[in-house]
Amino acid sequence: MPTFETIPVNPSLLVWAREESGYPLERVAKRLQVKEERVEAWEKGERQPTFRQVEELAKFLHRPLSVFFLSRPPQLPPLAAEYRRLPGVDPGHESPELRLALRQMLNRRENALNLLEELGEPIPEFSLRAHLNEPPVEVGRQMREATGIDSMTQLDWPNEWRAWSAWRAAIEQLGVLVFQFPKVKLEETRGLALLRMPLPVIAINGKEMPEAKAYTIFHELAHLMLAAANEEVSALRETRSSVEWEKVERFAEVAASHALVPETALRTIIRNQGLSDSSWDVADVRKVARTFKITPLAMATRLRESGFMTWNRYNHWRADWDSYVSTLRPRRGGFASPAEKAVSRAGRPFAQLVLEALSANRLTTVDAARYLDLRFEHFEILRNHLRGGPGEAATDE
Amino acid sequence: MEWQARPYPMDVFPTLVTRISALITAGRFVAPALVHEEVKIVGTAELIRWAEENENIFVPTPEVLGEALSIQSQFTGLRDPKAEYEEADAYVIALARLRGGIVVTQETPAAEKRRPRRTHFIPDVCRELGIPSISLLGLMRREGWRF
Repeated sequence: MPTFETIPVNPSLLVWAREESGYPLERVAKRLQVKEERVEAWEKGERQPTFRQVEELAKFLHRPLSVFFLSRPPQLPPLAAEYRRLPGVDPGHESPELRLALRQMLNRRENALNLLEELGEPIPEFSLRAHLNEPPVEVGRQMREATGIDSMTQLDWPNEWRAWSAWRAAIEQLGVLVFQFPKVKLEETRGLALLRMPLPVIAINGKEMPEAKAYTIFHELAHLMLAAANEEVSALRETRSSVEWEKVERFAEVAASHALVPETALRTIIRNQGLSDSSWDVADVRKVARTFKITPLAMATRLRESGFMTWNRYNHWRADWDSYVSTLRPRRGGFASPAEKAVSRAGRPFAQLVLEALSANRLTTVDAARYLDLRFEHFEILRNHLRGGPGEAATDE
Repeated sequence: MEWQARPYPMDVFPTLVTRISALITAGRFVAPALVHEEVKIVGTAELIRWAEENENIFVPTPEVLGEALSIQSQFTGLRDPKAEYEEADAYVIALARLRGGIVVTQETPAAEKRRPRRTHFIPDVCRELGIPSISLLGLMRREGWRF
Protein backbone atom coordinates (compact mmCIF):
# COMPACT_ATOMS: atom_id res chain seq x y z
CA MET A 1 0.00 0.00 0.00
CA PRO A 2 1.52 3.36 -0.98
CA THR A 3 1.85 5.94 1.79
CA PHE A 4 -0.53 8.36 0.04
CA GLU A 5 -3.44 5.90 0.15
CA THR A 6 -5.98 6.26 2.94
CA ILE A 7 -5.91 3.82 5.79
CA PRO A 8 -8.80 2.68 8.01
CA VAL A 9 -7.93 4.03 11.47
CA ASN A 10 -10.33 3.97 14.41
CA PRO A 11 -11.83 7.52 14.56
CA SER A 12 -12.39 7.32 18.32
CA LEU A 13 -8.66 6.70 18.76
CA LEU A 14 -7.87 9.84 16.76
CA VAL A 15 -10.01 11.82 19.21
CA TRP A 16 -8.49 10.02 22.20
CA ALA A 17 -4.89 10.57 21.11
CA ARG A 18 -5.42 14.26 20.37
CA GLU A 19 -7.33 15.01 23.56
CA GLU A 20 -5.02 12.90 25.70
CA SER A 21 -2.11 14.95 24.33
CA GLY A 22 -3.95 18.18 25.11
CA TYR A 23 -4.14 19.54 21.56
CA PRO A 24 -7.08 21.44 20.07
CA LEU A 25 -8.15 20.55 16.53
CA GLU A 26 -6.55 23.63 14.99
CA ARG A 27 -3.02 22.79 16.16
CA VAL A 28 -3.25 19.28 14.74
CA ALA A 29 -4.62 20.64 11.47
CA LYS A 30 -1.86 23.24 11.28
CA ARG A 31 0.85 20.67 11.92
CA LEU A 32 -0.55 18.30 9.29
CA GLN A 33 -1.15 21.18 6.90
CA VAL A 34 -4.80 20.35 6.37
CA LYS A 35 -8.00 22.24 7.17
CA GLU A 36 -9.57 21.85 10.60
CA GLU A 37 -12.70 20.45 8.92
CA ARG A 38 -10.57 17.65 7.46
CA VAL A 39 -9.31 16.57 10.89
CA GLU A 40 -12.85 16.81 12.23
CA ALA A 41 -14.06 14.58 9.40
CA TRP A 42 -11.37 11.99 10.26
CA GLU A 43 -12.43 12.07 13.89
CA LYS A 44 -16.07 11.55 12.94
CA GLY A 45 -15.16 8.68 10.65
CA GLU A 46 -16.48 10.55 7.61
CA ARG A 47 -13.09 10.48 5.90
CA GLN A 48 -9.84 8.59 6.43
CA PRO A 49 -6.31 10.03 6.62
CA THR A 50 -3.51 8.70 4.44
CA PHE A 51 -0.86 6.45 5.94
CA ARG A 52 1.66 9.30 5.76
CA GLN A 53 -0.74 11.55 7.68
CA VAL A 54 -1.25 8.92 10.38
CA GLU A 55 2.52 8.58 10.69
CA GLU A 56 2.86 12.36 11.05
CA LEU A 57 0.08 12.43 13.60
CA ALA A 58 1.76 9.71 15.67
CA LYS A 59 5.01 11.69 15.65
CA PHE A 60 3.34 14.97 16.53
CA LEU A 61 1.29 13.49 19.38
CA HIS A 62 4.19 11.27 20.53
CA ARG A 63 2.06 8.13 20.27
CA PRO A 64 2.79 4.67 18.86
CA LEU A 65 1.47 4.26 15.33
CA SER A 66 -0.50 1.16 16.28
CA VAL A 67 -2.58 3.03 18.86
CA PHE A 68 -4.76 4.40 16.03
CA PHE A 69 -5.78 0.87 15.09
CA LEU A 70 -6.92 -0.28 18.53
CA SER A 71 -10.57 -1.28 18.91
CA ARG A 72 -11.04 1.10 21.86
CA PRO A 73 -9.00 3.75 23.67
CA PRO A 74 -6.50 2.50 26.26
CA GLN A 75 -7.49 2.91 29.89
CA LEU A 76 -4.74 5.10 31.35
CA PRO A 77 -4.83 6.87 34.71
CA PRO A 78 -5.33 10.64 34.40
CA LEU A 79 -2.06 12.59 34.51
CA ALA A 80 -3.52 14.82 37.23
CA ALA A 81 -3.59 11.75 39.48
CA GLU A 82 0.20 11.75 39.41
CA TYR A 83 1.33 15.28 40.20
CA ARG A 84 0.75 17.60 43.14
CA ARG A 85 -1.74 20.44 42.92
CA LEU A 86 -0.18 23.29 40.97
CA PRO A 87 -1.38 26.85 41.41
CA GLY A 88 -3.05 28.00 38.21
CA VAL A 89 -3.08 24.59 36.54
CA ASP A 90 -6.51 23.10 36.04
CA PRO A 91 -6.23 19.29 36.34
CA GLY A 92 -6.88 17.70 32.97
CA HIS A 93 -6.30 21.01 31.15
CA GLU A 94 -2.53 21.16 31.23
CA SER A 95 -0.72 22.50 28.18
CA PRO A 96 0.31 19.88 25.57
CA GLU A 97 3.94 20.60 26.48
CA LEU A 98 3.35 19.92 30.17
CA ARG A 99 1.30 16.81 29.41
CA LEU A 100 4.12 15.42 27.28
CA ALA A 101 6.70 16.28 29.94
CA LEU A 102 4.59 14.49 32.57
CA ARG A 103 4.29 11.39 30.40
CA GLN A 104 8.01 11.35 29.70
CA MET A 105 8.91 11.74 33.37
CA LEU A 106 6.45 9.07 34.49
CA ASN A 107 7.88 6.67 31.92
CA ARG A 108 11.42 7.52 33.04
CA ARG A 109 10.54 6.81 36.66
CA GLU A 110 9.00 3.48 35.65
CA ASN A 111 12.11 2.65 33.63
CA ALA A 112 14.29 3.50 36.63
CA LEU A 113 12.29 1.14 38.85
CA ASN A 114 12.48 -1.62 36.24
CA LEU A 115 16.23 -1.21 35.82
CA LEU A 116 16.86 -1.21 39.58
CA GLU A 117 14.93 -4.45 39.94
CA GLU A 118 16.53 -5.94 36.83
CA LEU A 119 19.97 -5.21 38.27
CA GLY A 120 18.99 -6.50 41.72
CA GLU A 121 19.65 -3.09 43.27
CA PRO A 122 17.62 -1.97 46.29
CA ILE A 123 15.04 0.72 45.61
CA PRO A 124 16.00 3.81 47.63
CA GLU A 125 13.52 4.75 50.32
CA PHE A 126 12.28 8.30 50.72
CA SER A 127 11.92 8.63 54.47
CA LEU A 128 11.40 12.35 55.11
CA ARG A 129 8.01 13.42 56.44
CA ALA A 130 6.40 16.77 57.23
CA HIS A 131 3.11 17.66 58.89
CA LEU A 132 1.26 20.91 58.47
CA ASN A 133 1.03 21.32 62.25
CA GLU A 134 4.83 21.47 62.48
CA PRO A 135 6.65 24.80 62.24
CA PRO A 136 7.78 25.12 58.60
CA VAL A 137 11.08 26.58 59.83
CA GLU A 138 11.75 23.28 61.57
CA VAL A 139 10.86 21.36 58.39
CA GLY A 140 13.34 23.57 56.55
CA ARG A 141 16.00 22.71 59.11
CA GLN A 142 15.26 18.98 58.67
CA MET A 143 15.54 19.26 54.90
CA ARG A 144 18.85 21.07 55.19
CA GLU A 145 20.20 18.53 57.66
CA ALA A 146 19.15 15.69 55.35
CA THR A 147 21.24 17.17 52.52
CA GLY A 148 24.36 17.04 54.71
CA ILE A 149 25.55 20.36 53.28
CA ASP A 150 26.73 22.86 55.88
CA SER A 151 26.71 26.63 55.53
CA MET A 152 30.47 26.91 55.02
CA THR A 153 30.30 24.57 52.04
CA GLN A 154 27.39 26.51 50.55
CA LEU A 155 29.15 29.85 50.95
CA ASP A 156 32.32 28.45 49.35
CA TRP A 157 30.61 27.39 46.11
CA PRO A 158 31.99 29.51 43.29
CA ASN A 159 28.70 30.14 41.48
CA GLU A 160 25.02 29.33 41.23
CA TRP A 161 25.62 26.48 38.75
CA ARG A 162 27.80 24.66 41.27
CA ALA A 163 25.19 25.32 43.94
CA TRP A 164 22.36 23.92 41.83
CA SER A 165 24.36 20.78 40.98
CA ALA A 166 25.23 20.20 44.62
CA TRP A 167 21.69 20.70 45.91
CA ARG A 168 20.38 18.41 43.20
CA ALA A 169 22.91 15.66 43.98
CA ALA A 170 22.16 15.93 47.70
CA ILE A 171 18.42 15.59 47.17
CA GLU A 172 18.88 12.70 44.74
CA GLN A 173 20.62 10.90 47.60
CA LEU A 174 17.37 11.04 49.57
CA GLY A 175 15.61 8.53 47.30
CA VAL A 176 14.18 11.14 44.94
CA LEU A 177 14.57 11.32 41.18
CA VAL A 178 15.22 14.88 40.05
CA PHE A 179 14.34 15.58 36.43
CA GLN A 180 14.22 18.73 34.33
CA PHE A 181 11.63 19.30 31.66
CA PRO A 182 11.90 21.51 28.58
CA LYS A 183 9.47 23.62 26.55
CA VAL A 184 6.94 24.36 29.31
CA LYS A 185 6.34 28.05 29.98
CA LEU A 186 7.49 29.24 33.39
CA GLU A 187 4.09 30.91 33.80
CA GLU A 188 2.48 27.46 33.77
CA THR A 189 4.83 25.88 36.29
CA ARG A 190 8.36 26.32 37.62
CA GLY A 191 8.46 22.89 39.15
CA LEU A 192 6.31 20.01 40.28
CA ALA A 193 6.39 16.79 42.22
CA LEU A 194 5.16 13.38 41.10
CA LEU A 195 3.71 11.88 44.27
CA ARG A 196 4.61 8.27 43.55
CA MET A 197 6.27 6.16 46.24
CA PRO A 198 8.85 4.70 46.22
CA LEU A 199 11.12 6.83 44.08
CA PRO A 200 9.08 10.03 43.94
CA VAL A 201 10.03 12.66 41.37
CA ILE A 202 10.88 16.33 41.67
CA ALA A 203 10.73 18.03 38.29
CA ILE A 204 12.20 21.43 37.57
CA ASN A 205 11.43 23.63 34.60
CA GLY A 206 14.63 23.74 32.53
CA LYS A 207 13.95 27.36 31.56
CA GLU A 208 14.52 28.42 35.16
CA MET A 209 17.74 30.14 36.29
CA PRO A 210 19.98 27.90 38.42
CA GLU A 211 19.60 30.03 41.56
CA ALA A 212 15.81 29.80 41.18
CA LYS A 213 16.03 26.04 40.61
CA ALA A 214 17.69 25.68 44.00
CA TYR A 215 14.66 27.25 45.63
CA THR A 216 12.19 25.23 43.57
CA ILE A 217 13.83 21.92 44.38
CA PHE A 218 13.44 22.54 48.13
CA HIS A 219 9.89 23.79 47.62
CA GLU A 220 9.00 20.56 45.83
CA LEU A 221 10.84 18.51 48.45
CA ALA A 222 8.59 20.06 51.11
CA HIS A 223 5.54 19.00 49.06
CA LEU A 224 6.90 15.46 48.78
CA MET A 225 7.41 15.34 52.55
CA LEU A 226 3.84 16.50 53.10
CA ALA A 227 2.53 13.91 50.62
CA ALA A 228 4.57 11.15 52.29
CA ALA A 229 2.84 12.08 55.56
CA ASN A 230 -0.58 12.07 53.84
CA GLU A 231 -0.95 15.82 54.29
CA GLU A 232 -1.48 16.39 50.58
CA VAL A 233 -2.65 14.33 47.63
CA SER A 234 -2.53 14.54 43.86
CA ALA A 235 -4.02 17.47 41.93
CA LEU A 236 -6.95 15.29 40.90
CA ARG A 237 -7.87 14.33 44.45
CA GLU A 238 -6.99 17.58 46.23
CA THR A 239 -10.20 19.19 47.49
CA ARG A 240 -9.00 22.13 49.62
CA SER A 241 -10.24 25.59 48.76
CA SER A 242 -7.82 28.03 47.12
CA VAL A 243 -7.40 29.84 50.42
CA GLU A 244 -6.62 26.63 52.27
CA TRP A 245 -4.25 25.51 49.53
CA GLU A 246 -2.45 28.83 49.71
CA LYS A 247 -1.52 27.91 53.30
CA VAL A 248 0.07 24.68 52.08
CA GLU A 249 2.04 26.60 49.45
CA ARG A 250 3.13 29.11 52.07
CA PHE A 251 4.29 26.28 54.33
CA ALA A 252 6.44 24.86 51.52
CA GLU A 253 7.84 28.33 50.72
CA VAL A 254 8.92 29.02 54.28
CA ALA A 255 10.41 25.57 54.66
CA ALA A 256 12.33 25.95 51.38
CA SER A 257 13.70 29.38 52.20
CA HIS A 258 14.90 28.25 55.63
CA ALA A 259 16.51 25.16 54.13
CA LEU A 260 18.45 27.32 51.69
CA VAL A 261 19.27 30.11 54.12
CA PRO A 262 19.57 28.93 57.72
CA GLU A 263 18.91 31.64 60.29
CA THR A 264 22.34 31.55 61.95
CA ALA A 265 24.17 31.76 58.62
CA LEU A 266 21.95 34.64 57.50
CA ARG A 267 22.64 36.69 60.62
CA THR A 268 26.39 36.00 60.41
CA ILE A 269 26.59 37.07 56.76
CA ILE A 270 24.58 40.23 57.34
CA ARG A 271 26.89 41.17 60.21
CA ASN A 272 30.07 40.28 58.28
CA GLN A 273 28.96 42.23 55.22
CA GLY A 274 28.21 45.28 57.37
CA LEU A 275 24.55 45.23 56.48
CA SER A 276 23.06 45.15 59.96
CA ASP A 277 21.71 48.67 59.52
CA SER A 278 20.97 48.36 55.82
CA SER A 279 17.87 49.97 54.40
CA TRP A 280 17.91 47.04 51.91
CA ASP A 281 18.06 48.52 48.47
CA VAL A 282 18.36 46.32 45.39
CA ALA A 283 22.17 46.23 45.56
CA ASP A 284 22.30 45.10 49.20
CA VAL A 285 19.80 42.30 48.68
CA ARG A 286 21.65 41.16 45.55
CA LYS A 287 24.89 41.03 47.53
CA VAL A 288 23.48 38.70 50.20
CA ALA A 289 21.60 36.67 47.57
CA ARG A 290 24.84 36.09 45.64
CA THR A 291 26.50 34.86 48.83
CA PHE A 292 23.85 32.20 49.31
CA LYS A 293 23.47 31.59 45.54
CA ILE A 294 19.74 32.26 45.48
CA THR A 295 17.66 34.83 43.61
CA PRO A 296 17.39 38.37 45.03
CA LEU A 297 13.62 37.94 45.15
CA ALA A 298 13.91 34.80 47.27
CA MET A 299 16.47 36.60 49.44
CA ALA A 300 14.17 39.57 49.99
CA THR A 301 11.39 37.20 51.01
CA ARG A 302 13.78 35.49 53.38
CA LEU A 303 14.89 38.81 54.88
CA ARG A 304 11.27 39.73 55.44
CA GLU A 305 10.69 36.33 57.07
CA SER A 306 13.42 36.98 59.62
CA GLY A 307 12.31 40.52 60.34
CA PHE A 308 15.15 42.33 58.54
CA MET A 309 12.56 43.90 56.28
CA THR A 310 9.09 45.06 57.17
CA TRP A 311 6.25 44.24 54.79
CA ASN A 312 6.20 47.88 53.81
CA ARG A 313 9.93 47.92 53.06
CA TYR A 314 9.57 44.61 51.19
CA ASN A 315 6.80 45.99 48.98
CA HIS A 316 8.91 49.02 48.12
CA TRP A 317 11.90 46.80 47.41
CA ARG A 318 9.75 44.58 45.21
CA ALA A 319 8.67 47.56 43.13
CA ASP A 320 12.30 48.71 42.77
CA TRP A 321 13.34 45.17 41.87
CA ASP A 322 10.65 44.74 39.21
CA SER A 323 11.71 48.02 37.68
CA TYR A 324 15.39 46.97 37.75
CA VAL A 325 14.62 43.56 36.20
CA SER A 326 12.69 45.17 33.36
CA THR A 327 15.91 46.91 32.28
CA LEU A 328 17.88 43.65 32.08
CA ARG A 329 18.44 41.72 28.88
CA PRO A 330 17.29 38.10 28.99
CA ARG A 331 20.04 35.85 30.31
CA ARG A 332 21.46 33.49 27.72
CA GLY A 333 22.24 29.90 28.61
CA GLY A 334 25.66 28.37 28.03
CA PHE A 335 26.43 25.64 25.54
CA ALA A 336 25.72 22.08 26.65
CA SER A 337 26.69 18.94 24.78
CA PRO A 338 23.99 16.34 24.05
CA ALA A 339 25.42 14.13 26.82
CA GLU A 340 25.34 16.98 29.33
CA LYS A 341 21.78 17.76 28.31
CA ALA A 342 20.79 14.13 28.86
CA VAL A 343 22.22 14.19 32.40
CA SER A 344 20.66 17.56 33.05
CA ARG A 345 17.26 16.23 31.93
CA ALA A 346 17.22 12.79 33.52
CA GLY A 347 19.67 13.20 36.39
CA ARG A 348 22.98 11.56 37.14
CA PRO A 349 21.53 8.54 39.02
CA PHE A 350 19.25 7.64 36.11
CA ALA A 351 22.04 8.06 33.55
CA GLN A 352 24.32 5.85 35.67
CA LEU A 353 21.59 3.25 36.00
CA VAL A 354 21.11 3.08 32.23
CA LEU A 355 24.85 2.69 31.65
CA GLU A 356 25.07 0.00 34.30
CA ALA A 357 22.17 -1.93 32.79
CA LEU A 358 23.73 -1.58 29.35
CA SER A 359 27.06 -2.91 30.59
CA ALA A 360 25.30 -5.82 32.27
CA ASN A 361 23.46 -6.59 29.01
CA ARG A 362 20.13 -5.99 30.70
CA LEU A 363 19.21 -3.33 28.18
CA THR A 364 19.59 -3.04 24.42
CA THR A 365 21.50 -0.18 22.85
CA VAL A 366 18.32 1.14 21.27
CA ASP A 367 16.47 1.18 24.59
CA ALA A 368 19.43 2.80 26.38
CA ALA A 369 19.55 5.53 23.76
CA ARG A 370 15.78 5.98 23.91
CA TYR A 371 15.75 6.09 27.73
CA LEU A 372 18.30 8.90 27.74
CA ASP A 373 17.07 10.52 24.53
CA LEU A 374 20.68 10.44 23.41
CA ARG A 375 22.29 9.10 20.26
CA PHE A 376 24.55 6.15 20.99
CA GLU A 377 27.57 7.95 19.56
CA HIS A 378 27.44 10.31 22.56
CA PHE A 379 27.60 7.53 25.14
CA GLU A 380 31.39 7.68 25.49
CA ILE A 381 31.17 11.41 26.16
CA LEU A 382 28.41 10.65 28.65
CA ARG A 383 30.69 8.21 30.48
CA ASN A 384 33.46 10.80 30.63
CA HIS A 385 31.02 13.44 31.82
CA LEU A 386 29.76 11.18 34.61
CA ARG A 387 33.33 10.46 35.72
CA GLY A 388 33.68 14.20 36.37
CA GLY A 389 31.43 13.99 39.45
CA PRO A 390 28.52 16.24 40.36
CA GLY A 391 29.01 19.92 39.80
CA GLU A 392 31.64 19.70 37.11
CA ALA A 393 29.29 20.90 34.42
CA ALA A 394 28.23 24.52 34.34
CA THR A 395 25.66 23.86 31.68
CA ASP A 396 22.01 23.13 31.55
CA GLU A 397 19.12 22.91 29.15
CA MET B 1 22.12 -1.30 15.65
CA GLU B 2 23.20 -3.43 18.59
CA TRP B 3 25.98 -5.21 16.73
CA GLN B 4 27.38 -2.08 15.17
CA ALA B 5 27.24 -0.04 18.37
CA ARG B 6 28.76 -2.48 20.82
CA PRO B 7 30.18 -5.95 20.23
CA TYR B 8 31.19 -5.61 16.57
CA PRO B 9 31.83 -1.98 15.64
CA MET B 10 32.34 -1.39 11.91
CA ASP B 11 35.86 0.03 12.22
CA VAL B 12 37.09 -3.07 14.13
CA PHE B 13 35.12 -5.66 12.16
CA PRO B 14 35.16 -4.44 8.55
CA THR B 15 34.84 -8.00 7.23
CA LEU B 16 31.54 -8.36 9.06
CA VAL B 17 30.23 -5.39 7.10
CA THR B 18 31.42 -7.04 3.88
CA ARG B 19 29.63 -10.26 4.81
CA ILE B 20 26.43 -8.42 5.66
CA SER B 21 26.73 -6.55 2.35
CA ALA B 22 26.90 -9.90 0.55
CA LEU B 23 23.65 -10.94 2.27
CA ILE B 24 22.07 -7.67 1.16
CA THR B 25 23.20 -8.18 -2.43
CA ALA B 26 21.70 -11.67 -2.33
CA GLY B 27 18.41 -10.18 -1.10
CA ARG B 28 18.70 -12.12 2.17
CA PHE B 29 18.94 -9.19 4.61
CA VAL B 30 15.88 -7.00 5.20
CA ALA B 31 14.38 -4.93 8.00
CA PRO B 32 11.16 -3.02 8.54
CA ALA B 33 11.28 0.72 7.85
CA LEU B 34 10.67 1.36 11.55
CA VAL B 35 14.18 0.07 12.21
CA HIS B 36 15.48 2.75 9.87
CA GLU B 37 13.51 5.32 11.88
CA GLU B 38 15.12 4.02 15.08
CA VAL B 39 18.57 4.23 13.54
CA LYS B 40 17.94 7.81 12.45
CA ILE B 41 16.93 8.80 15.97
CA VAL B 42 19.48 7.00 18.13
CA GLY B 43 22.13 5.56 15.80
CA THR B 44 25.72 6.64 15.34
CA ALA B 45 26.59 8.85 12.38
CA GLU B 46 28.37 5.88 10.78
CA LEU B 47 25.32 3.63 11.11
CA ILE B 48 22.98 6.32 9.84
CA ARG B 49 25.21 6.69 6.78
CA TRP B 50 25.32 2.92 6.29
CA ALA B 51 21.52 2.70 6.56
CA GLU B 52 21.11 5.44 3.98
CA GLU B 53 23.51 3.69 1.61
CA ASN B 54 21.50 0.50 2.03
CA GLU B 55 18.04 2.00 2.02
CA ASN B 56 16.71 -0.79 -0.17
CA ILE B 57 16.83 -3.24 2.77
CA PHE B 58 14.04 -1.38 4.57
CA VAL B 59 10.54 -2.66 3.86
CA PRO B 60 7.88 0.10 3.97
CA THR B 61 5.66 -0.01 7.04
CA PRO B 62 2.35 -0.40 5.15
CA GLU B 63 3.61 -3.74 3.77
CA VAL B 64 3.97 -5.24 7.24
CA LEU B 65 1.47 -3.18 9.22
CA GLY B 66 -1.44 -5.64 9.06
CA GLU B 67 0.68 -8.57 10.16
CA ALA B 68 2.37 -6.50 12.89
CA LEU B 69 -1.00 -5.37 14.26
CA SER B 70 -2.17 -8.97 14.29
CA ILE B 71 0.95 -10.03 16.25
CA GLN B 72 0.46 -7.13 18.67
CA SER B 73 -3.13 -8.20 19.25
CA GLN B 74 -1.98 -11.71 20.05
CA PHE B 75 0.92 -10.58 22.25
CA THR B 76 -0.41 -7.41 23.83
CA GLY B 77 2.81 -6.84 25.76
CA LEU B 78 4.46 -5.80 22.49
CA ARG B 79 2.25 -2.73 22.46
CA ASP B 80 2.63 -0.05 25.14
CA PRO B 81 -0.13 2.58 24.88
CA LYS B 82 1.87 4.84 27.21
CA ALA B 83 4.89 4.77 24.92
CA GLU B 84 5.90 7.78 22.86
CA TYR B 85 6.83 5.85 19.77
CA GLU B 86 6.16 2.59 17.99
CA GLU B 87 8.56 -0.18 18.92
CA ALA B 88 9.83 -2.10 15.90
CA ASP B 89 9.61 -5.53 17.58
CA ALA B 90 6.26 -6.67 16.16
CA TYR B 91 7.24 -5.37 12.72
CA VAL B 92 10.49 -7.36 12.71
CA ILE B 93 8.62 -10.53 13.59
CA ALA B 94 5.87 -9.74 11.07
CA LEU B 95 8.41 -9.30 8.30
CA ALA B 96 10.05 -12.63 9.11
CA ARG B 97 6.65 -14.29 9.12
CA LEU B 98 5.62 -12.78 5.80
CA ARG B 99 8.89 -13.61 4.08
CA GLY B 100 9.59 -16.92 5.78
CA GLY B 101 12.75 -15.43 7.27
CA ILE B 102 14.81 -15.76 10.41
CA VAL B 103 14.78 -13.01 13.02
CA VAL B 104 18.24 -11.81 14.07
CA THR B 105 18.01 -10.09 17.45
CA GLN B 106 20.20 -9.33 20.44
CA GLU B 107 17.14 -9.18 22.67
CA THR B 108 16.96 -11.82 25.39
CA PRO B 109 13.82 -13.78 26.34
CA ALA B 110 11.68 -12.90 29.37
CA ALA B 111 12.98 -15.94 31.26
CA GLU B 112 16.46 -14.39 31.31
CA LYS B 113 15.25 -11.18 32.92
CA ARG B 114 14.93 -10.63 36.63
CA ARG B 115 11.90 -8.35 36.35
CA PRO B 116 10.65 -8.47 32.76
CA ARG B 117 8.56 -5.40 31.93
CA ARG B 118 6.41 -7.59 29.71
CA THR B 119 5.76 -11.33 29.30
CA HIS B 120 6.96 -11.61 25.72
CA PHE B 121 10.12 -10.30 24.10
CA ILE B 122 11.13 -10.95 20.48
CA PRO B 123 12.60 -14.45 21.11
CA ASP B 124 9.52 -15.44 23.17
CA VAL B 125 7.07 -14.38 20.45
CA CYS B 126 9.16 -16.06 17.74
CA ARG B 127 9.22 -19.29 19.72
CA GLU B 128 5.44 -19.28 20.14
CA LEU B 129 4.83 -18.44 16.48
CA GLY B 130 7.35 -20.98 15.26
CA ILE B 131 9.59 -18.37 13.67
CA PRO B 132 13.31 -19.05 14.00
CA SER B 133 15.27 -16.39 15.89
CA ILE B 134 19.00 -16.16 16.43
CA SER B 135 21.55 -13.69 17.74
CA LEU B 136 24.14 -12.07 15.48
CA LEU B 137 26.68 -14.63 16.67
CA GLY B 138 24.12 -17.29 15.75
CA LEU B 139 23.90 -15.77 12.26
CA MET B 140 27.70 -15.89 11.89
CA ARG B 141 27.73 -19.57 12.91
CA ARG B 142 24.79 -20.40 10.65
CA GLU B 143 26.48 -18.77 7.68
CA GLY B 144 29.82 -20.38 8.55
CA TRP B 145 31.64 -17.07 8.75
CA ARG B 146 35.19 -17.09 10.16
CA PHE B 147 37.13 -14.01 11.27
